[in-house]
Amino acid sequence: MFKLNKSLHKWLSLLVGLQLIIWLATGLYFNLMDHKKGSGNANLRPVAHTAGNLNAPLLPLKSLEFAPAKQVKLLWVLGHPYYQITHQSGIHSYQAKQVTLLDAYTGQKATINETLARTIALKSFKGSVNIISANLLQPPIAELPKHENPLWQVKLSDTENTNVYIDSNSGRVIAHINDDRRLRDLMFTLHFMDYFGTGGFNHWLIILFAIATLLLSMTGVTWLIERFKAGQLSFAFKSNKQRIKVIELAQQQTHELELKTGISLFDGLAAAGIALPSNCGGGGTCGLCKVRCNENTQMTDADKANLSNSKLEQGYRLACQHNTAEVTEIEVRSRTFNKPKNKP
Amino acid sequence: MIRTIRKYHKWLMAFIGVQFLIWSITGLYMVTMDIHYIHGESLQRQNQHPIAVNQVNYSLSDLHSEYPGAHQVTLTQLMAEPVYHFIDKDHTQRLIDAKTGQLLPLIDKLQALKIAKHQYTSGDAIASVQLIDNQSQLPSELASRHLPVWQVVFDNVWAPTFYISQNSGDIVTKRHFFWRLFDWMWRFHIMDYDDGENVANWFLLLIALLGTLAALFGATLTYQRVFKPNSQGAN
Repeated sequence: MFKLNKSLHKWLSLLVGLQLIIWLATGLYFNLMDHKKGSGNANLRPVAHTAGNLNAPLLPLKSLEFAPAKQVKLLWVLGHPYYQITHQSGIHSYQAKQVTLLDAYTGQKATINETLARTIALKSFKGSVNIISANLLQPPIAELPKHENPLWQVKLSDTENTNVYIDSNSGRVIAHINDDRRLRDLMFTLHFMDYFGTGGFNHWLIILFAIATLLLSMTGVTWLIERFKAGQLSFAFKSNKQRIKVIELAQQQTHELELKTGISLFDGLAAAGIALPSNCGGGGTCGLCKVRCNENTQMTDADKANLSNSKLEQGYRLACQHNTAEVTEIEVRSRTFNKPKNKP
Repeated sequence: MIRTIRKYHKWLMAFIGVQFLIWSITGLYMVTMDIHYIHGESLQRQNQHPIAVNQVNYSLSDLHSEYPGAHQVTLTQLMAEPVYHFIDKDHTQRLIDAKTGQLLPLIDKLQALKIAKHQYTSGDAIASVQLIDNQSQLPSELASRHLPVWQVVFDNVWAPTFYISQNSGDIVTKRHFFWRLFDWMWRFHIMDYDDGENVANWFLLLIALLGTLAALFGATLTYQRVFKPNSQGAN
């Protein structure tokens, strides 16, 4: 049972490990970032659209022909009034909309054209810049994947490579996307695993990884609880000593050692210069660090999983799965044998 | 070497492993719950009838001469009646009957109840209604810019709640159990246990730094066990 837990922990970590480190690193970025810069709004300033006075009477809506509307707004664009007639819209402004613009003085159909978009873009930017290009983009828009409406993209010549995005239905500035904002957006893409450009975090890939990560955490916590129960997560403030007689078979030598309690026999022996073979480093999974103890020494799950019945009956146990306090006399066949440091 | 890494992985996780569990649980909740559902979009009816433009006798020119300096002027509907909503030059919101040009009073309790019932997608009864018009009554889930509002709570285990602006009659925001729970998940995810709004807190920084270290140790162990199972690197 516990072997399955360790095995799961290993394979789950292989599956989600890289993404887990990405989550931590991007999380640290969000913790430390400059949010004002990251928003891309460092050079954004409000554009004055409303004019104080009317140059002519506004045409009565009753006199105009338009498709059924759920809202009509008196929209000012650079001092000129329009009727912004919304036929269809979602709850959020980024959702697809059906909008008609009519000139409120003449009743003529109007659009936010390139000249308006260019002027608005320049007015929205603090400082003087030139325009590199202006294009009306249809969704999906690479730098604003959520938006479902056509947007004007006006590229500016500033050092941060700002692109100004302007709503083609209203002339409102949607965003300034510059290098700071691109970095932040990249971090969000990584944190939300949005590698397929959904613009959100409710997608199957991240759900799958979130489930795997929860299992990874749960198997980790289970492992910690198991270690705690085995006495290997205790604060050894009062460090007792356990006297152990160690018979080293390879060297045909016997040593009387005094090892600290509250640690594993594997770690205790290593501290005394006796390095047992191991490639899991004390995880109880490779089965290499076996030592022969008194046959009555309690068997752990890891012992049973890694050692044959006959070995178990002879008293073989895994040194990493037993505390120093459990034994008084052991036989070991060590990999390297330095001079024991604490001879009695 | 690998023995030391295993020890550090174990001890670091003994202190901060619980936060990994919290990140996993809260993250899983936030990615599995559809954000539009969380925002209560399914609570509010969207399909409105078109505005009866032929009944709009009071024109925008009339409005402009009667209320010079009015801005953000919108023709919309209040309970299927055409109305103008705008911000007057003294920054107060106004509502005007678009048929007659008559200034409409603030939304009263009866109207708030009507609006709530009209726009709510389920048939639950209303459990409570109260006016929130000053900062001291402000629930943490409501932004103060929305004041004054009618808070209408429906009789349902998930406590769906509409906040209806007293000025415009619009549902300015809504809440239900799953949104409130989402906010708590967010708080635990960013480890901001006071107001739940600040990602830039030192506690998160500390735990995330230690967590990154612990995860890197863990990655080394996985690499060792999966890709180098025959090397004998005990020390």
